Amino acid sequence: MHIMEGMLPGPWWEIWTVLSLIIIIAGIYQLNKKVKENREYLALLAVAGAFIFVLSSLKLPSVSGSCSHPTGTGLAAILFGPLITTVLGFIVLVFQALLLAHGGITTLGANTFSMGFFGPLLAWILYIVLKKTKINVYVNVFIAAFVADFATYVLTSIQLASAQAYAFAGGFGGVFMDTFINYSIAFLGIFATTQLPLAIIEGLIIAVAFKYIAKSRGDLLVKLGAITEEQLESIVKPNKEVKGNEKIYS
Amino acid sequence: MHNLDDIALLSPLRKKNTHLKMLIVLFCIIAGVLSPSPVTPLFIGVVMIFITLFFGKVPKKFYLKLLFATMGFAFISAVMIALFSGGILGDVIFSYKLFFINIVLTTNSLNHSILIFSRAFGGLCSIFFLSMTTPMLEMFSIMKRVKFLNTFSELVMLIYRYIFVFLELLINIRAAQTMRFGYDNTKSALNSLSMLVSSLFIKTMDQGDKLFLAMNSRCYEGKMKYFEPCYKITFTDTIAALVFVVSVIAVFYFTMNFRFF
Repeated sequence: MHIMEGMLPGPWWEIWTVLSLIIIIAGIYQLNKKVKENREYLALLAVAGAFIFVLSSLKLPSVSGSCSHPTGTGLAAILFGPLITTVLGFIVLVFQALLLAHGGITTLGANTFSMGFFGPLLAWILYIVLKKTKINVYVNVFIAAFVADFATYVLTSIQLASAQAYAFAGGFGGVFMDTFINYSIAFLGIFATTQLPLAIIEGLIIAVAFKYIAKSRGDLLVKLGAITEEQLESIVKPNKEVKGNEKIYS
Repeated sequence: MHNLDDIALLSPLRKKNTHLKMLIVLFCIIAGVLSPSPVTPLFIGVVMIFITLFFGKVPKKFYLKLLFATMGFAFISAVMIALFSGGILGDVIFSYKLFFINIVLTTNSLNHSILIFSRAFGGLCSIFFLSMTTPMLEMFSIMKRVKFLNTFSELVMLIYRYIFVFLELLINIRAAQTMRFGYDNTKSALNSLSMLVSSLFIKTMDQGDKLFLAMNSRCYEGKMKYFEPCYKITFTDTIAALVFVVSVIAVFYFTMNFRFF
């Protein structure tokens, strides 16, 4: 769930908008450069953006009975890096705000920062670091997708809590800290109980989906730089019988 | 899925100037967020509902259903904001200790949550007005004026086009899986969803290759041409917009210190 229109008062929506704008401009700069190098990239990004949107319109079965959707940005962060994912996330959020009435215009900056940048950045760093260790690729993908989803909601609740506490206390002084802590506990408590299982489910789905993709079209993943050739070979083990036959015939 | 763009394409207000509509909505949203009293956003919301329903001829049942569903989330958030402030400022109306969190309702927190709720209401109605009267592609054509955003705006248009292609694919695959008891229990549902995501991903990537080929064979050189309709601003539109803006400013100014409690 994104922050709704009007939920962020005072200087907060401006702050988040400016922060996100800086990242989006950096992302567009990178985008322009990459498209200039290879025009095929634009078509690829276009379908990837549509993929994130469609993924985020997918309803997940939830424990608490309510419905929630995956953020879908974890997979994009692994494949395209955090800056491009921010641009894609921003576009997806604009469409969600205007087509589905999810999120809002003044809160677009805050939502872009949490869903498009913060979550994917953490996921991407973790993925890159863990890739160098000998950890299983699927476990790595699971962690990345889980972190991208969960970090998004943690930051969202902190964004909400800080903005409400600031408006409530009329500034950073006075009762700001007490109110902030109270709101943070409340928002995080509610998000953690409803979102933690969902983040796990999203991680599982993305990891298993990654396995299916690697098995049927592993070349796509290698092309995008998500996994190396050796990794692909170690994942998709060639059939032992066939290997034995090869030896016999050669 | 409710798609607001279908309504926008048929709306009688579509033939009004796109930039004027966008400016008015931006003005409303910012006025609503800046307003210290809940009256201004409520006023904006009511006017926007009136315009969308009576001039935009949006089906009333559809509109109200969507509005109530979305405002439900805003209501939950508003209740949380009212109850979990810690109750340091204002007169206490109600208090209860749950484990280690104090649930306190004070006049201050109640006022604040009403303000937040009304802002969400006003903003949502303004967004509804824009997205139910203006097709998405017309809104984004504004970005083509800036050279830095050329690639970006093309990306937006392409994504917009492919959303509907993939959404149909998603619905079809999902229907096929459901018919084969793919969502019978939690375990098979997880497996089916993963298969859905993976086949969607592979299909999208293949589609990307095809798209590049199609664009190249039509002499794509980094600039796509779209039809951009241009609607003139009439005299009555200007007057109506001015009256609305002035009345919002008046309401903003005179109700600045208004509080419910």
